[in-house]
Amino acid sequence: MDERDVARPAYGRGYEEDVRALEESMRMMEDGVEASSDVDVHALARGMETSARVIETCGAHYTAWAHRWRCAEALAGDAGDGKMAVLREEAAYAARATTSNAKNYQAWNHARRTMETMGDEADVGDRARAFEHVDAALASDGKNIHAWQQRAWLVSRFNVWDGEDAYTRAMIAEDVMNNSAWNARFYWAKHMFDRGDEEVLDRETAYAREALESDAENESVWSYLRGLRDFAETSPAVDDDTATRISEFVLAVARAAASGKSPSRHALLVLADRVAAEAVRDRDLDRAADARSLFGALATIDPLRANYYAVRLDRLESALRASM
Amino acid sequence: MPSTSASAIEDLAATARELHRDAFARNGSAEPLRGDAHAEYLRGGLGALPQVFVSLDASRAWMAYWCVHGLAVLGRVLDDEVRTRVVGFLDACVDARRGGFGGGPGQMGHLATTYAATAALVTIGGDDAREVIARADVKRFLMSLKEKETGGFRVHEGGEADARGCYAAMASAHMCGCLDNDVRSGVGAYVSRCQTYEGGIGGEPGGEAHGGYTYCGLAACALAGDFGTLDLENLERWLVNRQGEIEGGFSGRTNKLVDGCYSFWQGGCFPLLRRANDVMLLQFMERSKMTVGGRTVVGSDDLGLEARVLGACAATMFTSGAFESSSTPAAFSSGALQGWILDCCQSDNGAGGLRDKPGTGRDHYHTCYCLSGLSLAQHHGRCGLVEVVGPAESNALVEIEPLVNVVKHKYETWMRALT
Repeated sequence: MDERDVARPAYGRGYEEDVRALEESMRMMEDGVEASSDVDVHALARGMETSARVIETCGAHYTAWAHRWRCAEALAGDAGDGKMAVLREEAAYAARATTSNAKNYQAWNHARRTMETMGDEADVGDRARAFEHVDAALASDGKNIHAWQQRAWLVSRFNVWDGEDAYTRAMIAEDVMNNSAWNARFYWAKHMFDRGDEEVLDRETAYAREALESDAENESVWSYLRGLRDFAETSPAVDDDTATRISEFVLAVARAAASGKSPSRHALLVLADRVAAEAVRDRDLDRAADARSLFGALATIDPLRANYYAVRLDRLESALRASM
Repeated sequence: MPSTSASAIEDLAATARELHRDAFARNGSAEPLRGDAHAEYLRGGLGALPQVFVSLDASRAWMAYWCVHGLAVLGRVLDDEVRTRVVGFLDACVDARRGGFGGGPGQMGHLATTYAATAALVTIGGDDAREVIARADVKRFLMSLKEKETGGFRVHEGGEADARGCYAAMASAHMCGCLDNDVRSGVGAYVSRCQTYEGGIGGEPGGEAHGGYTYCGLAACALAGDFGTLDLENLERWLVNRQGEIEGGFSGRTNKLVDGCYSFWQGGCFPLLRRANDVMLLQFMERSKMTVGGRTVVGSDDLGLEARVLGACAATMFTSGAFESSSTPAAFSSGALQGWILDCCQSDNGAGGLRDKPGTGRDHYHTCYCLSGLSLAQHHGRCGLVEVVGPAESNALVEIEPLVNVVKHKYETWMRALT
């Protein structure tokens, strides 16, 4: 065995030749780029084909993807009016590759680069196809992180937020624990606020409270409530009344869920966080005792995380010592 | 409508509960680690592989790292011949034109495989391993992928930019001795923009908090010495909630299933957070002043009542020593994590290799990260103490440095010789 055989898969028919052809095509291009700026259209087309053959066998062959993109970009740049046709073919190529492996970093990157390069020349059809590509992946796996990231990028790049309310609401209705959908909804809500929708924070905290009715321990919802509250409390764009209202609302939801026979640990932690912060702010030892009790209660109902509650308690004691 | 996520989580918890129960009935503790079988499986990964592995043809430098590192964590020594061959292979992965390491010979340099190749070389150690690395070339490569406007890094020429890129760049630069201001500037700010409202870190701004990206983002900031505006307490809360109550392992995202590889990606964040304890204390004190100020709405009477009711059952915990203040533990349960890896992630029927979860097949990636997670649970659960679940003679692993996921003494030897 020689060093070239380390972790080396057996190559099936043709793959070795395809890889060699790819290396040769890359060399030609790289040396050519340095030598002259002439574009050999046929060599570029061959480079794209060679890359595709390698990708067919090894979908994650990023070198082949990068070379294909480089060839496509050069072809598009040289094609004059045909530029968009070249880019559209690449978008379709990436979408086809995603169908066989929806978690391939390279295919999603290829799709994004085509849209970036189209830029404002992308028409309604191009955008619709880009969303179809994403939606097809999310229809078979509602938590595909690549597809959600692509969606977030498309929404923000082309400033098309209007569909996001209905889209994320439908995904959440399908599975209230789909955290990817809650995440996308959070950024939509924030965008709506930035756009001047001042009531979105009230509507969304109420929406989240409703979602807790089916499962009071749904962490996605507690994170969403915390996130909206943190935004309300820390964003300078939120006025004091709104911040106070949202903050009180979230605490009221937490209080309700923390009482009763089986208190929600997420709700208890919302309260414990707040009480601990108040104890330090007010240098109030009674308040600190309340916080200790809350962390103690948490350690009892959630013994797996006892170390975490101990860490929080340590931090509280250190903060009290430092501020007294 | 019943949540599909909920039923999948319940099914896995039921399977894990049964495996934990069986293991306890057999051993009075967790399963012993089948170190010999795992080592044999990893050695196999360094040789010629069947055709099905062609899907990993662009990840061969990763394969080398997973196997070399996994063996080192198990305390196994590479045969001289294998060692020399792996060094030669990694040298052949260098992309002379661009300066980094590709996934295999002839491939374009990629940040992730540059990290993997470097970490494998650090683990192997020795002069020949050192000679493979050309510091100036690595720096040139990193700088060619840096996005000046955002502080992020593309993972290869024309590739995607995300939190992985930042980590691979910082860790490679650190181990190659070229982590200077050019390389590190803007990383804290970039990662901070990837932190979501949940507290974890996403791949890019707007993405969902995810275990792999969270480790990458946090470790990148720690290596760069720049936490930007990261909210570490929020990150910590998200992290501790990833540990599954019944399973004991970590999930990668909120309401997703526990998976063995996150034993390292999530677990590895805890020792890094503990090192940032002072930063977290300051952030807590600042928040106490700022975000609550003037807006407090909870009547202390209401809460006092609640706290008394709930606190009654907790009083015993304080007196029974469940909260020890002498040596602060890391914020996760090291015992539960070890139980998950030992009982649920080792292959069935005594075979070597570890896996994502019961019912899935083994692979070298999961073997590497399950073993890394087991090591850090043993060595980083409590400061200055090693806690091994199950029989120590089979289960005790070599300590790793969580910043780079390389065996600690090999990392220290390598870094001492860097000038």
